[in-house]
Amino acid sequence: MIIQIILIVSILIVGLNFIGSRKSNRTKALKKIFLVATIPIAILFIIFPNLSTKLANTVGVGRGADLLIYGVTIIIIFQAFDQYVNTAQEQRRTSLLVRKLAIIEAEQKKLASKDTIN
Amino acid sequence: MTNKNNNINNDSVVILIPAYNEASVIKETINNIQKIFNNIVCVNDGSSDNTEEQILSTRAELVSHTINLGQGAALQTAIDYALHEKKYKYFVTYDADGQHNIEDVITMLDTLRLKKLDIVLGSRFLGHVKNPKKLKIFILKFAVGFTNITTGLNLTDTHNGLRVFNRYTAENLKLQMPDFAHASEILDRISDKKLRYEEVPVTITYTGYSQAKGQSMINAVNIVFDVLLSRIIKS
Repeated sequence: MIIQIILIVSILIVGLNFIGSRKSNRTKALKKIFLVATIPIAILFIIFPNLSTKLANTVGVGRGADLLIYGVTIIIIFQAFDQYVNTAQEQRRTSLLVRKLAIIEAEQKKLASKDTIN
Repeated sequence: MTNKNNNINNDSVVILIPAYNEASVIKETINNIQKIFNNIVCVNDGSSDNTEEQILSTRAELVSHTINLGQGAALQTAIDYALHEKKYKYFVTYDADGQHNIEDVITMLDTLRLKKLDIVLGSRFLGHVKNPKKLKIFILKFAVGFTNITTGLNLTDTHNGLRVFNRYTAENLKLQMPDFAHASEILDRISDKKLRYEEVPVTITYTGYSQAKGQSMINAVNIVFDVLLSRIIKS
């Protein structure tokens, strides 16, 4: 069935995106296109409820609602992975800042105490 | 005490202690060290208790993280800070909870210098363990197996906080893993940079305090996950 191929490919893309370089402009652009496209597509499906079922049938899924669940599942998994990596990166950046600040502070104190001795 | 290490000037040695909520023990740990070594850099890793005041009441140098980052980050801060001081040739990582024996550091320094090594690691399994817990030993042994496979090193104890290394090693450790995964990270560096290493038996005293404070065993899952992930993810 077509849907199985689509889903397997999607989940593989999610996995590859997780381990690959995510800083590339291409991934960023794709994410933005996806974000912007979501709104009109959502409105389209709301106005024409049968559209999702038709689409579902063409890829070999019985109901539009099922197709929607498959799609949402992939998106949630992607979101979870992406979030994990972003948080880790953010943490690393915060660490650098805090560590630098700590060292500068300690060194200033050291200088100040030397000054008072002399 | 007969000083075996009269060839190493103690002033070229700096003891690095990461401390997170160790107010009740940190002072005693520092005072014990100061019987032998003068230069101590203590990093308060955003403690919520009065660890900072306790450190300030000693002669140790204090470096303070505004927020808690984890032991790996605290160690790296201590290393960075100590590296600014040109007279330091030997760097010692030391746990704040008093589980180490300062006498062991002397043996380790001797080994480092005499055998011209880059890093000497303390091993509790070559040495003597006071009041061990069976489960803890089992999981540690598991960690050893895991790390030996991933790094290609041959060690008996991979998660011991007591280490002695030279300036070259200090400059090249560059720890990035903020939490307890740094122990594996250090071994990765040894393997990557082909550092000359050796293990030396050390005595660990598991007090009720250090056991309560020690990393919970479920954290091993986090460490394994983070270590494996750091190998596949390019940041």
